[in-house]
Amino acid sequence: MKDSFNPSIEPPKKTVTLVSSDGYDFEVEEEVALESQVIKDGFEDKAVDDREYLLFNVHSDTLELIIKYCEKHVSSRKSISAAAASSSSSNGEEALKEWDEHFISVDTNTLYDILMAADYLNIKSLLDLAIQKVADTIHGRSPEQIRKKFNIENDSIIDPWASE
Amino acid sequence: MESVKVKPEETRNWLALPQQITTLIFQKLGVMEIIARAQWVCSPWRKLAKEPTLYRCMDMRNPWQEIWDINAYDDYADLAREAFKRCNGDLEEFSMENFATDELMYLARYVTCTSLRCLRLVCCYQVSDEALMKLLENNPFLEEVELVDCDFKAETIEDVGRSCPLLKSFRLNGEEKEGSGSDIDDNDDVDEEALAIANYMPKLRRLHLSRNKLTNTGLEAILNGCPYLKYLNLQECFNIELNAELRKKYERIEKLVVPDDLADDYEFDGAGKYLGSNDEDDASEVSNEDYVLESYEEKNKEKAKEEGKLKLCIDGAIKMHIEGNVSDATELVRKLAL
Repeated sequence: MKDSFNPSIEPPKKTVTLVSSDGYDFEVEEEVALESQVIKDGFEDKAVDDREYLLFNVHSDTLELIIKYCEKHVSSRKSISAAAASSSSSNGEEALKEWDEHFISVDTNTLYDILMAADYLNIKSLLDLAIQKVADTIHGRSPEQIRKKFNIENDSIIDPWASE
Repeated sequence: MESVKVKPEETRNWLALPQQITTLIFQKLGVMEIIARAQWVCSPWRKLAKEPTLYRCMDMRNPWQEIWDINAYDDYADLAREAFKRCNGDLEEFSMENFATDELMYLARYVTCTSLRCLRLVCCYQVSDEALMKLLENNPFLEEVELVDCDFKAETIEDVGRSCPLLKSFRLNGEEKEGSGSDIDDNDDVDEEALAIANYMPKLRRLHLSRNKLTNTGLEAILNGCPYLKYLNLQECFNIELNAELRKKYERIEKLVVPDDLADDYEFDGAGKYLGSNDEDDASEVSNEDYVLESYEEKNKEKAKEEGKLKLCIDGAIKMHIEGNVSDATELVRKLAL
């Protein structure tokens, strides 16, 4: 995925170039990029040969994950609606949910990066997924365990849990 | 920009998350978890935990599912009191299970001042009719009320309707008792609750009335009195006999969940959208025991127009799902009845 930018190659019509904060180019299909509301807004106004987005806030490692997520969701949506149209059986939505769950099972640093990128690019379903994951991680943990998990310093003066 | 330099191996500063994201995370956690734990993590979180918008929806159901060690609070009631303090008079949704008391209901009344849209009480035996009424009187804009496994009088049900003219969704589930309702001893008041609903809740869209003792008389009154009804759940209402006479009246109900003594006239094909779907996907979902028709309802609005297949959901004592054509299903039902 990490090809450095090569100006001599004309991108095919239906693609968009996303440039990560550390300078890597990612060429993705238009509909995949349009999963991001930020890209979608004003997309039509942009000239076709100028469809390049510099994502100052998204590192290439994260961008790779984000693209993977968007590609999966675009293709799943297609197969789900195709299955519905032909009224054939499919467990597309269930399978996608499982895929999502697997996708978001990452360490807290990666989770943070995904959360920030989903917010920055405004990809609502991914933002929801990441937020739910954070909530699930916090759920049932004591304040001390939460601090440890998320590397938060305890600056509370009043701490009824201090006796732990 | 700071984040450009972030190398993957560095640890992230979770306190640098935009506040709206942390707020969303807190919303997912719910009020109990925020007050009991999250707010003690650090001072920025403690500050955020005071945000009144977080307390617009207080869902305190299923408290015992948590592994609690609420150091700072004596009990759940303390926790609820704290949440009331923070909601700033803007409580819209209030759900309690088990530990609700009259005192908490009066407090809720005090803090809500007409803001409440949804009230759910589950297993709240300690709440008196009076306390419930006082709360409802203050909240005329309630659209959804659930009283599950509570012990309120039929007159109170009437008052619920009277106090909440906008009520769109009502759920009244009786207690789970051995052989509940199957024998009609006191004919006089088995339909009391049903009549209260029929007479005082004309705007209902959804009615969930499982384990109620109502008879056909009560059901008929409901069908007459609530013309907008789209969803009706009659699980384990064993005194009802769905017959041809009633059929005309419940035909317009889009989702009907019948008591499990399926009457002979079950072939009300085309009666509701709920009979039409043949989507395989749903088959697996419906077979889930705890399945409630709600999500099903949403999903199948369009699909359900298709005909030819019958889908029955038999709830109650026998929970199962049958899919097949009409004659197969009716035959199965007959076999089950034997």
